[in-house]
Amino acid sequence: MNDDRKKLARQQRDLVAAIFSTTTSEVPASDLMHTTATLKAKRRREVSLSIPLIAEALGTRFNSVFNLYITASPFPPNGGLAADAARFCNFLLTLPDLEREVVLLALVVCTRRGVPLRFAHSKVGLVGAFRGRTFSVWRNHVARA
Amino acid sequence: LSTTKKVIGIGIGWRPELAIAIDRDPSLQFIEITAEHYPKGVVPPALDRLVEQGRTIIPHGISVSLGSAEGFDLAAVHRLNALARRFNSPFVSEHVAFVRAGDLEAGHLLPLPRTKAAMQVVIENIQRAQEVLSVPLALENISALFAWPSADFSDAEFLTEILERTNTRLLLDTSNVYANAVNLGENPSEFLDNIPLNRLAYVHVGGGFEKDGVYHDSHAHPVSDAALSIVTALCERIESPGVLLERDDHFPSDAELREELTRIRAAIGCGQARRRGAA
Repeated sequence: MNDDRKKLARQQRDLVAAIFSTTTSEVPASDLMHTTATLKAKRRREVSLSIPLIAEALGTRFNSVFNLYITASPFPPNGGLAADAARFCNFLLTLPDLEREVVLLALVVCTRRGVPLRFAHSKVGLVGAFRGRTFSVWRNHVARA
Repeated sequence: LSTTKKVIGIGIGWRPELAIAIDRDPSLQFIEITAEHYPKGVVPPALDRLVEQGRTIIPHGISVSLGSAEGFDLAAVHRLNALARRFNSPFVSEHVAFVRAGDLEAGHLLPLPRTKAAMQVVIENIQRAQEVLSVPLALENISALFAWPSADFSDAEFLTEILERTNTRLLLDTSNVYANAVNLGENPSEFLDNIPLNRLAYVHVGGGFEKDGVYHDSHAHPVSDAALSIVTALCERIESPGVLLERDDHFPSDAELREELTRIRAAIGCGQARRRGAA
């Protein structure tokens, strides 16, 4: 990569990072404000359309939960919108206070995307079980039910 | 300049929600498909039917990222090429923009700094993409919500130099010209006067909305009169371009769609009449 490419690569990396976080780039943050808002709204709308049942189940909370997700999650490098929606569902499973319906729907999306779902016995009967950190989230929901 | 045929008449971007309306309206002579919607190359049978009816299909890319300093998406170029071969398309199209940098994906078309260095990068990328493509490439001007602080070229100069040095065709998005007028203070008339219209392959026009003084190119609203006035201004300068309506959301009823297409035809007709009047 020659110097011109290196310089442009740095400019572009800084810019994309600045759009989705509080880092700085050559373009003043005030000039990026509309781009940031537009891209977030675009992702939010497209994800809500691709997982309508989850969006509906979240209701008025959808926007605030999605804003939490997007702050920590840039657009996935592979898989486009479907990957963004699946990541959002993974994110939902890390939240401690979601309705069971939302958790179930998110599990379905994750399962369809290849996340292994197993079943385990519990006090309330047979429940879905996840490997890794989401297991405890699921257990919390079961415990609360 | 390539002698590849250009499309004429009215076209539309194919979406499943519009499939029946498109199938029923033979006046829609050319159809654009977004290559990223068919990642495995499997396309709806409705598109084959359109080809049988004699309509032209143009594959359009949104994720090649021809302006990325760290390289463009070669697989996306191959996908465009495969679709072009499948549909015997006269050309494929992409944007003068970048959508990713490092391991970050913007999920949207972002403008390049209009510098000599960026121009050299995008030209090299386009030339490498052209080695893969079996049909000519048309490049689209994008709309932007911001401008980079320093520029060696105007928007028109930057686009023109890239088109000339890569011998590519022009996909002129008149709504993006309008968006850049509102958002960046560009002059549409000057822009049209300073781009190589002899390279025009076809034209995009789409709807948007204005909020807080910012124009958003949503493709989800009816085309504004202001954007159509740029179609008219273009048609005062050249003979009968192919004009394609982009509609990606909030899909209109058949009647509303017909009305939208009628307005586009009227804008073209108005420009052509003025052109003949001036001749």
